[in-house]
Amino acid sequence: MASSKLSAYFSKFPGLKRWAYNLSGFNQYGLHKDDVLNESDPDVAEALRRLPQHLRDERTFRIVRAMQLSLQKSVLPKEEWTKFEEDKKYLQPYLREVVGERQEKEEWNKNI
Amino acid sequence: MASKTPLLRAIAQRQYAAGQAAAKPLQAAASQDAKTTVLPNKLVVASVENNSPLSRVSVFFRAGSRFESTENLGAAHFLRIVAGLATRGASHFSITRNLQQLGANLTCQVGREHIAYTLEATNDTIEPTLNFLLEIASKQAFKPWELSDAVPRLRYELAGLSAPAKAVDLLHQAAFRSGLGNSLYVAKRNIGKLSSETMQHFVNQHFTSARCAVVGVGVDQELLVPAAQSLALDSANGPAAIKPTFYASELRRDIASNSAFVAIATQGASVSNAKDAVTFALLHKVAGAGPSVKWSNGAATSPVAKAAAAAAENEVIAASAFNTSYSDAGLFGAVVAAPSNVAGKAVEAVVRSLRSLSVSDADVKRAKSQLKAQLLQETETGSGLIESIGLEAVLRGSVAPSSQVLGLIDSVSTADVAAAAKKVSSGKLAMAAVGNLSQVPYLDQLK
Repeated sequence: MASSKLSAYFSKFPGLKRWAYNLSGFNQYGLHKDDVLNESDPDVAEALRRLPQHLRDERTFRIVRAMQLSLQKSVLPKEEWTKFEEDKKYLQPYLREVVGERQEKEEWNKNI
Repeated sequence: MASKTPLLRAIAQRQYAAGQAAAKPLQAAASQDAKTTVLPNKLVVASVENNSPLSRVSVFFRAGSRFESTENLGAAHFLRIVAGLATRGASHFSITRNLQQLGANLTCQVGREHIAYTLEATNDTIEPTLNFLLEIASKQAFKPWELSDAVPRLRYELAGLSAPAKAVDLLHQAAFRSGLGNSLYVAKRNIGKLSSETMQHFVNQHFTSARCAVVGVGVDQELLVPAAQSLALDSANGPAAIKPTFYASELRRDIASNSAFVAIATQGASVSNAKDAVTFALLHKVAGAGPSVKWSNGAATSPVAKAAAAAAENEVIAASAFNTSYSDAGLFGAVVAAPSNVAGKAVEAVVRSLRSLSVSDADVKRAKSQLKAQLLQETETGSGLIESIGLEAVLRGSVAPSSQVLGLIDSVSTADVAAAAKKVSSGKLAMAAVGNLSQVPYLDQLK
């Protein structure tokens, strides 16, 4: 994640964000940003464990569909690509909580 | 964790000859009667400042297993298991580490009519820890993943339940069916059904100020009242308790075992009539409330134990009378633990002895001394004292001074106890049995 100063800088150029999003290409498989986070990162793994069942099912469907498309060396039709505005950051609330808990633990271990 | 005669928990009267105490002296205070305040939102605050170096504060709610409905059976048990997990203002880690840093202990206790969160700390650290207690007791967050992580602990506890405890639990279910008959423990089939929303709904309905009591031992009333006022609770009365009806029915659970554990009871006294409750407690002592000498079978002074020992011949057997009083119902009977081959004869002998209890003046005199001693001993420790005043405060709204309770015991006559014995001899029986029940008679075979 970019630091907050860097994020603030890039927020002045909203078009830049959209350009970078479309360039990365995962939206052509119908994936959202949170679908492609590194699952072996312990924070992400814990946040995924806490995901409620319906969100987990939707995510699994998108990933399986993307794997099928990748296997066939094709992508979704352009109308079905995930749009930048519609990209749902469903994992962020859980991720924030997990990171906050880890930081709290580290603060305690530093001082006590 | 059945609540026993909450009215009768006497508060020990310590008559120390010490002079006037300065701020935080090390000697105990002269009186251990509780000071009670009822706040405008009907919350009861009671405390005993006994200058103890250890302070205890408890938050009691009238939210025990009897208030569970069919949709949330086991909620009270699960609430106890998840006490101390994340609240709206603090994470589980933060609560644990902060309490450890302050040297405090958090426990949670659940009965058929109440739930209690207790915090113990030394008297110089009790103030900062109070905030945690109020948070834990009223602002549980019930995070779904923490609840599912707590399920193995729930299963472990269910696996460790002893057979006599199961028998007594089943006895309540046989005698009362719903309400007081709800099990104290969640059924295995319901473990997955207690979701975050269900738990939150149970708390919202039953954790109101009208059903709450904040009690302390070794703390000042002036510390407790503002803390209790800061508890942000709804002021509704909450759902009323299901009026208990006594059913003369039986429940049997066969399990692989060499023994049988049988609990039998008739209707006892409720705490709403204090004299009746005391009378049945005295009858309990007359019939035999367990041996007074360690490792003996109590047959010398207990007709119930004597009958069981005679029926068992050379086998090892344990039997004692059983009495419990709730706010609107009670049970009086006996619990028998016997090897399976003599269980049948033992149960029949115990029922015959219950039906023919003789009550003499000497018996009642002995019972009175034993009852007074038991009550005073139970409230001698800080943990016993806080449980006693907490139950009284949350179930009756006031705490009776010890002199009143001891006076009530003295006022019961032999005729009163004999009348209670007559009720037991003619009352209908409810029964529950757990273990190897091949010899245990069915209810319709018992007179």
